[in-house]
Amino acid sequence: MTHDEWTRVRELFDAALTRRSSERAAFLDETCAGSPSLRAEVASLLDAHDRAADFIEAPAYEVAAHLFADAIDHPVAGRAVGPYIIRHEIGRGGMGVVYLADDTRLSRRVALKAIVPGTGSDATRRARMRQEARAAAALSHPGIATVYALEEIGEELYLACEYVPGRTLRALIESERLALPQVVDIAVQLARALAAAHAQGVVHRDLKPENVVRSGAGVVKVLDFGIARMENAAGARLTPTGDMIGTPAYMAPEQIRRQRVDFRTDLFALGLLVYEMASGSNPFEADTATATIARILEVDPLPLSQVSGTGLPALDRIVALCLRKDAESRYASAERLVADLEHLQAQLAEHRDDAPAELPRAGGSAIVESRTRSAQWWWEFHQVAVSMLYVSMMYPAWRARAWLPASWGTFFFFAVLAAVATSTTVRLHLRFTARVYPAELAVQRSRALGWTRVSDAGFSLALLLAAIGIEHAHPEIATLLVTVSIAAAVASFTIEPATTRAAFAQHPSTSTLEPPRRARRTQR
Amino acid sequence: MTKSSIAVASMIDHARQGDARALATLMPLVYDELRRLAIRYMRRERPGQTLQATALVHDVYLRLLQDSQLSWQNRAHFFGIAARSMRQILIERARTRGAAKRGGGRVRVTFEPGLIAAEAPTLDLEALDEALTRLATFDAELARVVEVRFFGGLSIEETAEALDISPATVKRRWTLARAWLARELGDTPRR
Repeated sequence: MTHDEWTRVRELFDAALTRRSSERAAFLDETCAGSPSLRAEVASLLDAHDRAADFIEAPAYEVAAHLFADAIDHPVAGRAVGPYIIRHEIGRGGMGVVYLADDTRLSRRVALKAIVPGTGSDATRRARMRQEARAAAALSHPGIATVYALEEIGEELYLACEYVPGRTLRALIESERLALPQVVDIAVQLARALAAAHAQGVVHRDLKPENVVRSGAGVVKVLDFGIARMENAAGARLTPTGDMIGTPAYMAPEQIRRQRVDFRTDLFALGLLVYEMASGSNPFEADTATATIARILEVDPLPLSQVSGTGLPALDRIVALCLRKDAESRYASAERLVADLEHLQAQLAEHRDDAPAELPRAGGSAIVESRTRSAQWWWEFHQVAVSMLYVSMMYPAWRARAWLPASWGTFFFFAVLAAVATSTTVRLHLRFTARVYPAELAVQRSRALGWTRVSDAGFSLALLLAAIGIEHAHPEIATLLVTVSIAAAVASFTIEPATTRAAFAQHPSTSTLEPPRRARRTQR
Repeated sequence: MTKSSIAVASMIDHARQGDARALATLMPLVYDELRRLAIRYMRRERPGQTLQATALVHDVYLRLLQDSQLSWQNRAHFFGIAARSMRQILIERARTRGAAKRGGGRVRVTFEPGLIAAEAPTLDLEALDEALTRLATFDAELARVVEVRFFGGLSIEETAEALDISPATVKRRWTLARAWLARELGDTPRR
């Protein structure tokens, strides 16, 4: 058809449409006389027009809306998925949407997890998922939400799991400050669940507060045991824009470094859960994922008791052992962790009426006898002893003043007075903080360090100079001054750093100890 | 003026200069909007709740053009580009869906019950696209009207504004183009 012919078709089509359909045939006969092909063309277009009805009247995006609906292409309430009837959505996890559903075959409720579409098409991936699901389904423990089945319905994959009504640990942590016995109770239940799974060779890999549910009766269950790898296989932790869902805040260092992950990874996460339950915050969590990762790799959290004010060094030690950066130096098994936690729980029960701070001394076990605690006692003793010694030296200093040349004597005395006042005030303040506001201690210690060092040095130097001045007239007093001077210097620059390190550093390998975010925030 | 509308305005300027890259840059924006739209669309679970078509597409455009100081001409031009990008995205999507579902076969877009109306006509989007391309070879005006009206989702009046022609002309062209396409698709053996 030439351009002119088509122009003619257009004209005739438009003109014909202005006429009644009964008159169109006659109109075409008249106008297309001698050109049957033109007539046929226009007539067929008119015919198509009459039959077209609503053809393409609705916009394309309406017609094709479902092409874009991947994200919501999931069953909705009342819809049947294989033998399951969906009730409603109960959550969205890394794997996709989770529904509460009824299993019509067994008349029980299940949590039905729709594994992100597209993951089921790959045969090898499917096989691996089946294998993982089988391993997870083999776990049978009251502390683990059972995996019932991996359902392959068409091209979609669904995981049917035990439905656990109750509140997640996340909700518990956010709504209330859990009491220590509660924390230990939850920890014991979690550790037993881990031990049972680890005994069968299944590692959770993604233990976090969202994956732990406590029922109204206080039974704690771990969700998604052994199926975390499916999520990673599905690549579903990334949103379309490539953002990570959630935070890496519960990953162990070896997970971040993509090294071998084994049961010790779960122990790290458990230690972190206990820390967060007791203190109310995750010590590694920072504003950005990168900062969080850096903290997990580099920062040793403050001992739990210093942050939470619970004063239970046994728990400190258990948590610190779980949170070791090096997986090898954590607990050698979840069983050991269970034993320690149960021991602690028994002691808590025994001493329920005692003040929490008295508990650790009551115990005879290796864990409850806290090395850290006695080191801190020595540190506090050091502060008090030094203060007393300094004050007692005011008398000899007063006497020595008179034996020195007049102006020198006065200067000497006031120098000693200033040093003693500064040093003792700061030291007693530190001891007070250690007792009353343990969470602030780290910050106060770093602030005080300069003051004590300078005043100690001034004190030693003043005594030494005075001793030289009175050496001939009063050799005995001069000897005393020199002795105290040397003792003070040694105490300040050698003994005190040692006791401080013993009391406050968990691992000698790590030199910096940052207080967790919450503690820092209160400083500002 | 929001960041995205500044971006849209400058992109349109580029597009006017024939910069093909502008279209490519606009596509993700339109794509996101389409996706959001589709999700809202799918959420309506019962039949008989058909949304007003123009209201929907206006949401898309308004969001893209929000607070913009685009001139009328720019806005018209924008509709043209947006319609083209929507066409490309929809066809691309239909194609990949078809490939995924039938191992290379094409997908027939179905009006799912609960989506639009009780009767469920089907439309082969790819066949329509091919027919439209054929139409454009001998009558670009008709093809442009279909693109803006069907893929862009504009009304007769809006199409007239976007293409700078009278509504009566749009109506005439639309009617013919629709008849021609319907005949083409009717003749196309169902694949």
